[in-house]
Amino acid sequence: MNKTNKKGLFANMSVQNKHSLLRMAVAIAIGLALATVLIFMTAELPGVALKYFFTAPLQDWSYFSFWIQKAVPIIFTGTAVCIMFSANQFNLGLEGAFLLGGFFGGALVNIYVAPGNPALGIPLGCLVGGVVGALITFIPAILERLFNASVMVTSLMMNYICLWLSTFLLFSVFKDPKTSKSTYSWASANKEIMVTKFNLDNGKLTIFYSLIIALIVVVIAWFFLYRSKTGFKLRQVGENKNFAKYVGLSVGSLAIIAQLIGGFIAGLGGACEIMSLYTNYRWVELTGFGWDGVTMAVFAKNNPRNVPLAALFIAYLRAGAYVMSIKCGIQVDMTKIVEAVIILFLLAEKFLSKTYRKMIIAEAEKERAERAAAAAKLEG
Amino acid sequence: MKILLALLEVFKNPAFYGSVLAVTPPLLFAALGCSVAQKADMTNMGMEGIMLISSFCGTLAAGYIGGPNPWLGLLVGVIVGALLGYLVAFFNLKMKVDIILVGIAMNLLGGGATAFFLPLVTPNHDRTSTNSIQSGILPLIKLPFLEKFPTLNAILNNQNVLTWISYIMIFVMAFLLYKTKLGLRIRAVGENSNAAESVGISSSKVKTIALVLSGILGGLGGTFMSAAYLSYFSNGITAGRGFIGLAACSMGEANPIPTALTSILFGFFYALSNYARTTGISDNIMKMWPYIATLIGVVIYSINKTNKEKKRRAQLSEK
Repeated sequence: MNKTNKKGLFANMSVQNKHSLLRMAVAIAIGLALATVLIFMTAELPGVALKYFFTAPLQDWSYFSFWIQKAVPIIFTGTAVCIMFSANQFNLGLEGAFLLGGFFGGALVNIYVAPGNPALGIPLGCLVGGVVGALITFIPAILERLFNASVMVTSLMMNYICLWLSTFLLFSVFKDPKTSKSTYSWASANKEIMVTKFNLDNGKLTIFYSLIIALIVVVIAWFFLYRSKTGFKLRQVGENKNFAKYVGLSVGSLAIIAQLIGGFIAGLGGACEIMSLYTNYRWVELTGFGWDGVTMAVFAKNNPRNVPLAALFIAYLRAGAYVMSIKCGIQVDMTKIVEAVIILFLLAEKFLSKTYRKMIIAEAEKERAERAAAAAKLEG
Repeated sequence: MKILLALLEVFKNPAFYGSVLAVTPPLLFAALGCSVAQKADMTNMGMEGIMLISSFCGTLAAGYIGGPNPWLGLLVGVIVGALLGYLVAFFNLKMKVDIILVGIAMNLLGGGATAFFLPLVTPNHDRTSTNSIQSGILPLIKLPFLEKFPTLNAILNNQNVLTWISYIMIFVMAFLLYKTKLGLRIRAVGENSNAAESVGISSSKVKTIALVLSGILGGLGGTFMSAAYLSYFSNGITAGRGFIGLAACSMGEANPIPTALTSILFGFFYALSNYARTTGISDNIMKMWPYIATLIGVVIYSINKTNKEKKRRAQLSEK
């Protein structure tokens, strides 16, 4: 996404980084300013609403826990998208991978394969969720490899197929007849292992161990992309497919590997989400975390290393908006508007391009002045 | 066996085909909108968001200005669609944001902005749909002379005016793309924008026009949802139809007539899922069908294309 000028890379590095940081700061500032304006326009007590929106997750342990809860799934999907986008594979099937990963890995494994046995159920659930997720992204990937069918289109279709398949299985096969729309419950022991709750003076603190899994995934993904041979090859495919082909990389297989890993991570995320939040399965619509993954990858510039920070930022906004919606009745969907605006300004290459030029010129003049001074010294 | 008989019963029922015609238009508008943009080499991923926002604005205009005034709603929907199409063009061409990501941002904005503003602009602070305003629906076209032919009557009579417009739009778009100067320019820019630039066509201008046209069609599709399919706006009313349009466009290689035929095929499966209850098949399975059909369709289309390409190469090498 960030096209680097190869020729002047070394000379301009600091300016470029500075500028990209500046652009990010301005984009976020615009987004937050927009949020403030929207709140002022709509809230009866804008001061109170703003206070909840900007500070709620830090005021109360239960809101803080909610913040972390919102961050975990998008760390998973964000990392997954980073890997796929690094190889320039626009596979958008993570919605489906996350959902079915949760359904098969998180729910069915714990109900039928390892009932009452969390020591087996949790790791097996994670594994099955990951494998199912990988299968979901593999289908569009292999269809492109074999038949040259557009990954973007087929993966979008996969999301809806997964949604209706899981709803069908939920209602027609696995539904607990005693409930209206959920499966049989599994032992609450699983949930007790995945999360620990503390009653503190200032609300309930919940510790999500899935956050640890997510962070381990981030580290492995970063190591894979930036420190392993295959990861290097993947990024080459992403940067210039033709070049990669001419130097003898097997572009097709690398693209499939990227998508398999992406799907695995998303499915694993789905399984973790189900096991940490519920004791029965009841998702009947797409979660939206797959699309959030794309947002995360944009924020993180396709580098898994930056995903946790990006996820914490977006989750903070969402948690704040959630508290504000309860206390002041403002719709949580406000954050989506803010996210969309930040994405657009973050990616706009032409945004602040004049400032960029000025920064480069200033840098070059500084350098020239330094050289002139050095030359004058030599002569003197 | 029982299910097959029930299905046969559905297929024998002329009202079923009427309902196919009635559920296809939003898919058709979306698909035609994606195809005109695709012809200029712009993948309009944001179709879903454009449809949502124009549906929302259209409903509000229809409800608030001059009582239920769905025609005004249609006009506003189309204008809003055109503006959003321009917005996509602006961010891609002027601000240099990747077209797919502009589309994703547009979809985020569509879902977010409509849900956020809905309780603020409706009298009863509705949270899910505009129940507290009357926005009306566009008139149905009555064809009294058809009453002598019961089958045709069940299929064609009492269809919404926008339904008819959607089918007319297939030929309008085909004419526009293949018989007009603008169409030629759109296709030229899409095939090779450098070549087009070299003969003095401004590719960014043509691409902008294509996206505005795409937005207009999205506006029509969005308005259809809230002023013909239903008589109100509700959150996420388009339910993925913009994406189906994108898929239909991809299968029809962005040519209006194949794209339209594909959309009608999806419409067929949509209608079938509405009839699922009468056949005893789970409606969730039926809802899956349009997407599976798309998936299979895209694959078949791609196989054909690859084979054609191979043949062409073989012929060239023989020469």
